[in-house]
Amino acid sequence: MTIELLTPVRFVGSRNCYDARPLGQRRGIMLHFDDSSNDTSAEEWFHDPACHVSYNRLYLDTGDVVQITPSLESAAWHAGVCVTPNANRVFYGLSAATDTRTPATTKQLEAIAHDCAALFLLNKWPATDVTVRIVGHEDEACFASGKLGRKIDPTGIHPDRPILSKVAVRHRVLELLGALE
Amino acid sequence: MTAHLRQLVEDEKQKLSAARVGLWITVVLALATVGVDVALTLGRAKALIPNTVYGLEGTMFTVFASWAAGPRIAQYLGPQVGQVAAGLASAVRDARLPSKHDDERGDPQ
Repeated sequence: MTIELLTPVRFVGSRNCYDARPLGQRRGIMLHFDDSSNDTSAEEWFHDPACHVSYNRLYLDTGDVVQITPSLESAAWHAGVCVTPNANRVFYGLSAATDTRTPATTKQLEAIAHDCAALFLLNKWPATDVTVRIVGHEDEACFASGKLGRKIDPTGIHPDRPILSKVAVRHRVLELLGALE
Repeated sequence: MTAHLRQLVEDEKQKLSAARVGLWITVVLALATVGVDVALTLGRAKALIPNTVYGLEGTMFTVFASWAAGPRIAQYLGPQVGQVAAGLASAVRDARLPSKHDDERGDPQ
């Protein structure tokens, strides 16, 4: 028994990314939310030439997955300047489609956790690494000076009411990976 | 009765207040103006007292009312102004939140 990546309902094919890296050169998964007001506008923006962001995958309220970059191994423009060099290449970028006030739905969280577990298996990462390999944008995004705090997603403004809980995702990933052992 | 009426024109130290006297004079003048205007224009379709008179009386009322209220009015208006300011501040977007206008291209290498 294994965990497969969810099949996307749509492929956006955004060119807002760098070339794909060979499998195995990723270090982890970075979680985001995109502050979109609705799913349609969230996807359309990635086609706009003025857009300088992207994710590998976007998770809708229903738990459906939209593949934004041509390949999951493409270096999506999701991390930007981070304490880890070349963060766009080092981390997969998975994002929940929601705004700054609405927490990710249960289905969104479940879908994100499912794909995280699948990526752990794909990259042969041990389950014990969930804490270090599943990070938030807030854990890495830094200013030019190197100081953290440039971004606060996927938690959002209120740490006690996270938009997308990293803790919950990690916990669910552990459950999924634990079920295979 | 007299004592109650005196309270209308005295300040909290029981001294005659110029601001309150002016305020009441303005109020009486305004009522008188309205009364005269209504009486003179009965049967006519046009008011005789110009709007500038009413405007001037409104200004006088504002000045005397503010003068009478004094700085202490701030303790009532201050919290409300503070709440408005806080609301405006929250409407200003937190730059740390994700935005579709972000540039997360980072290092292309």
